[in-house]
Amino acid sequence: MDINWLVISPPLVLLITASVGVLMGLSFRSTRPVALLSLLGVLVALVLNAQLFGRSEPLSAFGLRYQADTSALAFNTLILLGTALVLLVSFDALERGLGGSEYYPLMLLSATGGMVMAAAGDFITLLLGLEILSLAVYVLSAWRPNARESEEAGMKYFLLGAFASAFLIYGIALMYGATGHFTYARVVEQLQAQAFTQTALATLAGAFILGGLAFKAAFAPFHQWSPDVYTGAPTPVTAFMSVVVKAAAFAALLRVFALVYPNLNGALTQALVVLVALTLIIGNLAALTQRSVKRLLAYSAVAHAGYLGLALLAADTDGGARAVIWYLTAYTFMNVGAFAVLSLLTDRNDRGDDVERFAGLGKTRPYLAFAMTLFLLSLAGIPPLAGFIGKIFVFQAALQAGYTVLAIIAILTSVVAAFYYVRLISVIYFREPEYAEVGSKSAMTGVAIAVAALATVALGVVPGWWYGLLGVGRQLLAGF
Amino acid sequence: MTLVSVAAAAPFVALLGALINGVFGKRLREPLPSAIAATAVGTGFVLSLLAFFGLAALPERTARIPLWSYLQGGAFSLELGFVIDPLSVTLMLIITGVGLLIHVYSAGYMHHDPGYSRYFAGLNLFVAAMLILVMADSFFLMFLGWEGVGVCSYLLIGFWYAYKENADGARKAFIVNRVGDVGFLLGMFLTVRTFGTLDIAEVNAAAPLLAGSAVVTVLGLLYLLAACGKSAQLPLHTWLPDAMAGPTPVSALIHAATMVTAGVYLIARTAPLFASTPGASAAVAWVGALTALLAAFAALSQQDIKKILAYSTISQLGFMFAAVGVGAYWVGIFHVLTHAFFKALLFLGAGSVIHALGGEQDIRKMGGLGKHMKVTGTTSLIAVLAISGVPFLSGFFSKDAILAHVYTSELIGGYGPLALYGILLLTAVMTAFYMFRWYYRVFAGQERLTASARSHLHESPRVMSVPLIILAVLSVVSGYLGLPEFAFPNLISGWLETPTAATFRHPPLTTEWLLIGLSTTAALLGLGLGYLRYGRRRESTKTETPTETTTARAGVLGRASGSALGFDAAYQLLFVRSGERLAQGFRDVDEDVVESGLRGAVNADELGRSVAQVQSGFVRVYALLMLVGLAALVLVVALARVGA
Repeated sequence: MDINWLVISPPLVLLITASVGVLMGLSFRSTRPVALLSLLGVLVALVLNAQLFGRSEPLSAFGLRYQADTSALAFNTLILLGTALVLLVSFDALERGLGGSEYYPLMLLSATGGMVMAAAGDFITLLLGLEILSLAVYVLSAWRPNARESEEAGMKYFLLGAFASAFLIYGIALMYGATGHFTYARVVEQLQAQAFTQTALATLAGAFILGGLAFKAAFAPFHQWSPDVYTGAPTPVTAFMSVVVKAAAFAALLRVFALVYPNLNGALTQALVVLVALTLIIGNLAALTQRSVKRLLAYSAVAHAGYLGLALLAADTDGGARAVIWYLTAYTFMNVGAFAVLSLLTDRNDRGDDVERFAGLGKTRPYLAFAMTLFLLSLAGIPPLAGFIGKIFVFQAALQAGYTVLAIIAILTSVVAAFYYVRLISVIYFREPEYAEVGSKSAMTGVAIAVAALATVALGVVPGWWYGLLGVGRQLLAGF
Repeated sequence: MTLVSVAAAAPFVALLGALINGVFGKRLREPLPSAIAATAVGTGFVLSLLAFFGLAALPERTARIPLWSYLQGGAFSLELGFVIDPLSVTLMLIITGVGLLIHVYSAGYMHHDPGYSRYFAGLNLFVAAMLILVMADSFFLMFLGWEGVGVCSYLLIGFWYAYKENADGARKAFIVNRVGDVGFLLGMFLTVRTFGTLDIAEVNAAAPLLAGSAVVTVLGLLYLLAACGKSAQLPLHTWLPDAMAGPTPVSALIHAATMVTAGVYLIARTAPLFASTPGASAAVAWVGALTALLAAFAALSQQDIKKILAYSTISQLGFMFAAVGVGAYWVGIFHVLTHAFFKALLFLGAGSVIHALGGEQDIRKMGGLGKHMKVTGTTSLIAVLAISGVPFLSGFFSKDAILAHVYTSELIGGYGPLALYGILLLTAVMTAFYMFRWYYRVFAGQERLTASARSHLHESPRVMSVPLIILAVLSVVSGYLGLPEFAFPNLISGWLETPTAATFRHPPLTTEWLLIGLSTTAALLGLGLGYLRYGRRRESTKTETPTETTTARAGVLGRASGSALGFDAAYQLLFVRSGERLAQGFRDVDEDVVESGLRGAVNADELGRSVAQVQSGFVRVYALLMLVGLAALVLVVALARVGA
């Protein structure tokens, strides 16, 4: 067994930081020292991860169980960036009455799990990563003190998450039954072998695995937890779930869809087509009628899972895989940005996220309003912002892979999406303020918003840099 | 990093200036925004100069600066980049040079305006967009600049947005320009379809291979439509007179010296394309000549000091179009250059007068200002003589070059060149005539000032008069860059000329001299007629009162001139009214049919609500739905198995 310390150093650093953080939390009354330590850990992990990026040789650890290919490294960059931004957003929000410095170690643990998921080269590693990721998020969802909906969110997420994990484990077991292996490489080997006869069983396994992962990715009809949990959880945690958890889920989906699924019955792909179409329609239509901005963003997150799913269908092409990663990059910045703005407008205990909070924001807090407008326009896919380019890549990949009807559905639903995003912008600029107090101020959150806004613009204006980086050196997904 | 490639920084510096003024402007005290903006443009000018000298040293006379790849995927990719060649450098020098003078002038003109920093943010943004337009190496990036200058023009025309007239002018400019933009967009679509690229150099190289084909002609006509919108040519010229609602320095920079010449630039930039389609080129030349004539006619009886100049700008742009239409691309740009100086000077002079009179723009309430405003009066006189085409001033050389090239063009066959020449010569007479009227009614003759204007009267401060003097000098000397080719060394033709299929006859020397004689005569004739009509009546004007209107006693021709042949009224009737009726119709259909029809059935709101209603909040329901979902997945797989 080879342990390639350098390759596993980024998640390892997070793990160590989390452990130290727990101990450190005991000796400080304020949560800020732990927050700063966590931020430092994330930044170190980011640097370690970045230096792996340029290497041309295949990187892996524990046999083929941990694959640090370009896809894994790119996803890990996103997970780390997303975590860093959420840490900045949490910095003052936690002091404002969310309390408890264990928050930060839990978040780091969750991110560790996500990184393991993104790099998992076999089903067991995937499952382990998923559970590490999920358990911490279950706790974080229930973090708001004295808020029933927060407790409810944690409980719901946990119950349904357990349910979904059962799907996944059952699928893995079936896959092992059909092929006798857990590692993707061996599974694929078996599936491609001439003498293989268990295609039916393997395809059934594929259906269960898809069901399990579709829960984390929030594909309809496995999405129903997300609006409730997103609304109940503290806003920074919602931001974390919407980008980090989603990135990890799509990293796992991308890998199995690119490697394993092409060898199974094509009906599974057709099943995903139906899921994606449902997700796009339900997510966008439900978002139309929301009065709570948090819930609106939750449904918008479901809808964006649909666009990502569209690119996922083309996962076995280079363009499709790159589109998934690129779209998630754009999505990470614009979505964290939007939630960060929201976190500045809610009450002390994170209550109050209705649309009226945004009324007149253009007059009372012009910079915040401008940033929010930028994020919303990007989410709607307006040029020259990141979301627009992301959609172009996704639609292009889908059309090249032959999913014309689905691409048309996606374009039509994105018109619906533009309506509810722009309506919020109109509230920001064309309604008189309804709340005397204009929320809280936080320099750290301001930094996060500024970084997210800059990235949203920069990715839109210079999209080729990151897109090109994904194609440099090694294969995007290690093909063994 | 060569000397040429530093020029790539110029638009970004201007953009930075715009950002600083736009974001922090309200916190900056008065001289600071103008200082920042002027520094940004000044830096751009220095960079342009460096590029100019760098380019002069380059043997191939062209440098491409790739920026970054915008979009890629499959076989198609959009690369962004700048091209620095004699054509773009010349325009860059005009934009940043004249732009710098106008920024300095504005520091005085906009003194105490509440929107001081907003004004300079807009002006800098304009310079950035205009630089991108002329430096772009692809139609795509050029379109970005094209739209950018359109937006800035809109923002600055409507700068004093609280007055309806200004807001209307801004909207009109924007909407009319959209018509041209559609031409540009369709042109780009057809370009990609025909040539598979939006790179201008590649299109220019490929176009001559398709010479004479219908597709090149259609392309030429589409880009001509685009050019007509931006450069205010027939039939899209109506927005420019109303654009005078903006601050006068804006009129000078955007609506005289730079933005409106973008159409000429577009045609010159795609010269090989136009040279391979005589049909589209003839259309360009005729549009130009007819616009020149019509606008000069309209300028004859306007009463607003800026509107006369606006029509004169349209007319001069017509001259430029005629030049690039007959294939004399360098001549068109040469006139862009000289026109930038003298027309900017005229506008700044007008601005100086308006400033001095506290906002008065009616020439019936001016007169005799020359003795109160020595600098403004003298420099304006130089500009008037230059635009009239009086020998030895810049306008004479460029206008004569246009007339001579139109006469000798071989790109357009038959009697076309002769007819165009006749029209333009007549226009030249009219130009001199109405410019004499403009000068005389403002600076000479009887004083007809209102009391409040008189109390306000003063020569403008140094910060405004120094730019006037510099522009006056340039209005005189810039013509010597392009002396008549047949007898003298011509610097600018060798610098700007691009090899195209367009050719010219070489008539005998006597004919050449005769042409020069004719254009000189035209200028002097126009000025002479102007003197007879306005100057000699000095004694009789004593009875003239400020309230008297020329149109009241004008005949059919006078009325036609005053209303610019009624284009505005016709458009109002044809497009605005019918557009309003159409919109009203749509609204009625939407309200009566669609809305009420849907209200009975399922409307979007309800659909959304019913979708959200499945969201009951009960974990058991969610779990059940997940199970149903999974069962469906398994069922699909099983069915596929049975099917196979």
